[in-house]
Amino acid sequence: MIRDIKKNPPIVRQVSLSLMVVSLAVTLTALIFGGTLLENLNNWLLNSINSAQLLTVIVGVVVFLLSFAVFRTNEKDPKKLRHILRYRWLYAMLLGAGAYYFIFKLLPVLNLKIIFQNYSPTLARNGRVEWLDPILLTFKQFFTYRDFPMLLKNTLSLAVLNILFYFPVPIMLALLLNEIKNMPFKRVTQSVLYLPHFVSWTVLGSIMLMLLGPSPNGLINSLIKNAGGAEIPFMMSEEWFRPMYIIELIWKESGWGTIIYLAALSGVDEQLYEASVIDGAGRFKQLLHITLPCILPTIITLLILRMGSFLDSGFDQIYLMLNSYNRDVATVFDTYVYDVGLTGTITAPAGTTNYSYSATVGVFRSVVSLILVVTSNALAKLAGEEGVY
Amino acid sequence: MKRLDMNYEQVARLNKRQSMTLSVIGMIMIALAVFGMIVNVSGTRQTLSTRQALLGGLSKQTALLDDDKALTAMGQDLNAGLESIAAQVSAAKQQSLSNQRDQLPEGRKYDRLTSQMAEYDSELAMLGERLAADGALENWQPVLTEASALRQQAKAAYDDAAAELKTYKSAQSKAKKALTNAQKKDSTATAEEVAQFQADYDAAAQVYTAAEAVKDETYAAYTEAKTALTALLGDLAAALPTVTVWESVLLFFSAALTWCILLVLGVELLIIGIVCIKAPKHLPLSMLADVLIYDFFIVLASVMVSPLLYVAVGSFSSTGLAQFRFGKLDFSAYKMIAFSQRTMRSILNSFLITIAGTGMNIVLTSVTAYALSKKDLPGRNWMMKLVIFFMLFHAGLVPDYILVSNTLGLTNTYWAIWMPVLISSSNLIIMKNFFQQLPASIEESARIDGCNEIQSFIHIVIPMSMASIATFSLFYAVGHWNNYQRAMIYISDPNKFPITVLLRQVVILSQGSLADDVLPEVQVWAPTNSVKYATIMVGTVPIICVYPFLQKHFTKGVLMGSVKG
Repeated sequence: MIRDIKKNPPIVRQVSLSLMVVSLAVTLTALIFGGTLLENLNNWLLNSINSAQLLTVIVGVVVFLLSFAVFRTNEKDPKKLRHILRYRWLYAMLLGAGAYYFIFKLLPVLNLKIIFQNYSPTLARNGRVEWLDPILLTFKQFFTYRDFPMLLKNTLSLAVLNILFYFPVPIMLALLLNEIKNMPFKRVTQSVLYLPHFVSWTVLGSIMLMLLGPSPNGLINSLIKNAGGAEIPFMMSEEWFRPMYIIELIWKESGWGTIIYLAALSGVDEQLYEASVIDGAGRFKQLLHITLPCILPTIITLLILRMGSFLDSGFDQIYLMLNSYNRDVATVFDTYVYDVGLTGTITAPAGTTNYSYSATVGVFRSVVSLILVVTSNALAKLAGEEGVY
Repeated sequence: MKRLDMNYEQVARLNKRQSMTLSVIGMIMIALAVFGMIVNVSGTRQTLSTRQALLGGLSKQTALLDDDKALTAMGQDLNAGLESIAAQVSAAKQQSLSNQRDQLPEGRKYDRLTSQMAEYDSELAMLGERLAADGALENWQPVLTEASALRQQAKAAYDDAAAELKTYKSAQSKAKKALTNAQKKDSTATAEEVAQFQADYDAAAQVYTAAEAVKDETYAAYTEAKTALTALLGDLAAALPTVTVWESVLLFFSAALTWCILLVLGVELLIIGIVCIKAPKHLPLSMLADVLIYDFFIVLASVMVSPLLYVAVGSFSSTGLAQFRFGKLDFSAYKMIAFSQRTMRSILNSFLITIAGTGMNIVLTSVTAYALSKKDLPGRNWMMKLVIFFMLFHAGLVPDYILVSNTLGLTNTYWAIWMPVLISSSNLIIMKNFFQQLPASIEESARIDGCNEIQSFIHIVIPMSMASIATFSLFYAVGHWNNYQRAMIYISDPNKFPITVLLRQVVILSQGSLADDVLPEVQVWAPTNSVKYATIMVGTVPIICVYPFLQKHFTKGVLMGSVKG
């Protein structure tokens, strides 16, 4: 059914547009400057985001969304409200997720204003949080600090090793699994390969210590020592940290990683193979000219998503592998943010607070990841592939 | 594309010469494998028997150490007895001095002490005999036993002598003091009194000298015995490997495995080759690839599962030596865990976190995904863009922490673990794609019957997508059970620890150098290897057990949404 589309009367559009602007301005003001502007209203509440501020923000967002809906609706006036109301149950179903995204995703992003402040909970409670003098002081400190080259080198090398040595493994495994025609064998193999995924990093770290740790407890080192060799410090040296990182990753996740490729492989049209057999293609040629091109979009999608977590080395894994022997190569952005921001075992350079400084490191990481995703997505689209979004 | 001139038959099958080569390669591999196995088996058997003997010695040594402990306990009892006797002696001495009696009662007490010591000596001798009898099996064993017994006796004797010495030293000093006092106030003291004190002092000095001699003698003996024992133990430690029987079995099999793989591969190649020589038209070349792929996966699966298997077997071995005998399971590690309130509690906590968290996740994710799967919903595109943006951009750890702990005040509650991951954006998108693939006609007919969206979601969509819901429940449940970071950051109350945090305490931190933030009770507990293994098992098996129940839902169709999206 084709409805004839009519715009709202100009007055409605103008009113809704101005409402949008005003509510957006009020919301943003309340969020960013709420602590100072609304101070008189809420002396009784001492948290960084307090009830009056929250109320203003929620009302502002609701007004913004409503006026936005009115502004965008192209139906006639009496039908417009009914058009929205027709979906009231669906909107009701979205309320929970809306609240979740608002509180746990949007608020932290908005609270990132602390990277321009000398924020700490104590200072905030006493109302003594101030904007930094050069507003980008934390960034300047971070980029000139002696930790920065080490962090960047450690994180980047792990990320590059990950792409080079871990990323292709699930693809190869999936391609090989796809060649198995005996279904019971395939099912058992898949189950065994999936098994390590269910093991937590703590357990994996423990098992690794039991197998590869120093000699009284570590099995392999006990054997080596027994055979008369020198112990190999698998878990406690700088040169073994990166190989162990990749080995642990491959053991735990490569089997599980095949799932998505197998799903893609199951969607490949059988007729293509039949046609290729008639054309005289062998198995390897089939792999090269049919299977791989068919799962290439999936590979590219996952590669782009991997770019999104390029600087994300996996906190649990690294943190559980960290010890005083490999600290210089194992400290990455994730653990650094934790050490500076939450435990305070590393202190931020003078002039700022641990909170603001580590939040800056986190933001740097997130922004670089976002840029990498957007760039790689654009490149994929440029190359004629389907991107992630 | 240029068409291939050869046809498929020619490309894919072996000719006679190739099959010949194949079978020759197979034969060479078999020969190599057999040779390697013979070398390996004989070598391993020899080392195994040596190790067996040494291990027998080791268990003897453990028995000795147990005896050692008993002896020490007895020695301590005796020492306590001696000390009380010494106290009595000195009290009596004081009494006698003040009463100026002729006869010293401590003499009788000393007799009692000597008889007690003789008793103890005989017990020591008995123990020594028993130890000597036990140790007759190995040629070095008697020496060790003897030395150990000697050391024990010497030590006991030394202790006795020292105690005796202590008693008499104090007696002597008291006597001397009394003498001095007496000599000072000689105006009031009678000559008799002075003589008495003098005699007393002389007697004490005599005993003291004798005791000193005994002490020196026993000390020399003790030192000698100790040196001998230390040397022996050093020899033993050097001779005894740190591996146990189970570990050497594992070593044997891991070395043998290489040869086995070679052998199997050789046999396979040989069979293929021979069959191809006989009937070159019947076996395509791709069969060779098949065989190699199957072999590869058998080896890979064994490698993947072996660490878990090792832990599983280790958790059933007896504690001290981690020895493993087939058919003799030892549940002591599990008993220890079952009686450890802390462990049981953290397992229950993990169950609570996983079940409640997964429930919340799956309800909210499916409801949201369903609403977002309606393509004509106004504002849907914006919402999807927001979801994707927040999937790609995280504010970071610190703002999250400030929100959860300062703004919302959820520290030390499980809400801090559940709330920040209520919806996983990637799961949401995959589930939304899945709902979009469901046939719309059924829902439309329900709509005509008067259902609203919520009703049709509950009564039509959920029953149709149980497989998908089961799969995502699994994803979420694994995430919750294995979560470590949030629990570590937000939970500081040990009673609320999930099993992952406790595991790190028990296994990684108790490993030594890193033990700063370990719970004191874990430090005291000093878990043995099998307890560590058992804790790992307890922390892993529940979540692995979930998988088979959900596996039947885990079909390839469920995840198609992920591929298209």
